Amino acid sequence: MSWRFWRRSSPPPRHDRAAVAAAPEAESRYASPGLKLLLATLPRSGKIDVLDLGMVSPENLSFFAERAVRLQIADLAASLSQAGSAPGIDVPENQCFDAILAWDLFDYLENGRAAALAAQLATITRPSGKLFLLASHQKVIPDQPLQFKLGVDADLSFRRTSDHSRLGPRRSAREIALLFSGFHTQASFLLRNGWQEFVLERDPWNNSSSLAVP
Amino acid sequence: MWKRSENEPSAVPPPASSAVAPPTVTPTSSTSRPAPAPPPLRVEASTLGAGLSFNGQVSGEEDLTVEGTIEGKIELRKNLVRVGSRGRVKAEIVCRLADIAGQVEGNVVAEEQVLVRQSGSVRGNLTAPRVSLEDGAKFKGAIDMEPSTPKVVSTATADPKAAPKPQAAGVAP
Repeated sequence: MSWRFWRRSSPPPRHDRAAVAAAPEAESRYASPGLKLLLATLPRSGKIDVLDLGMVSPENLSFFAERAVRLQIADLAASLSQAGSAPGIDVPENQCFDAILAWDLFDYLENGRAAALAAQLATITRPSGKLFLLASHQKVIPDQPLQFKLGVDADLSFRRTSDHSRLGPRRSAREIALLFSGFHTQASFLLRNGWQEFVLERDPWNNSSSLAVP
Repeated sequence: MWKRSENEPSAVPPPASSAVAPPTVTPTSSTSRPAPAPPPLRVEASTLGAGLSFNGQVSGEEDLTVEGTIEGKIELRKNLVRVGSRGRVKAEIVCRLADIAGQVEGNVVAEEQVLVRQSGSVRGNLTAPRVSLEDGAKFKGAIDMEPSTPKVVSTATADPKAAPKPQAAGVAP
């Protein structure tokens, strides 16, 4: 069997365009400008309270172990698949945070649930506290939230937890700003790897905020 | 030919690798003469078997392995508390070392180290100078880390792949 005959007799494999376009590789890493900004603006003295909405990762624990950080892990990914109300966050009463890592979780919530979760986050973020958010601007995203790992020099690696894909919401910066009504956008970074990073800052407390600053 | 003699002790699978040394029981010395009745072994570790459940407070000065179910409180400040892969604990744990491969619902306070293995699941707060989490372990709660001491031992392997770093295409505050 000649090479030419083999070429003619074997049709090229048909690629599913959606699958090809589906975003990130199994595991990738990049330098995150948003994360760098977030870390630079965190308080340098005193203990910092950080809420990680994603899955637990040994690397993230190691990262924050170098700093004076009290880390709360919410692991919302498991509850995202449950339809209905927004996933609840179990935090102690009157607990507030200096920084919240939301990763890509909002890409997996429709607008109503996303707004409810954003409102809940606004009540547990200290004034001038930061929220780090990733929004995919690709048509197709993995079926499940990614697992993110912090590295040195604000390197961020992410790993797929599912082989399946789905359509992404592709929210614009304006839609994100409207979604997080208690925050304002401090900076956003449109990256060539399919992500847009947002660093949101909590607005000063107003009368609607029921929690007192501890 | 390869069949083992019935008198030969059967092969025992090696214990799972553990960063925390398991409790050992020192064997009694053997002699050629028939020994008198051996003194009772000093039990240094206790095990709650998979078929057992306990409701209440456990305290004392022995290591404890939980393969069953415990609800209440475990207070073994100088000892190791191991929750096996079949173990379920719904209790506050105060100990010297905690080695968790099963499910724990409650706060864990360890004087030296907390280790959550790949099969482990913890829903509660961890307080210890060193906290180790294996990749794949499930955890929901808070970890308080003090800056003065080495705390977290990551047991995940470094990722071999490193994608090229993309450049920021634009900045739009």
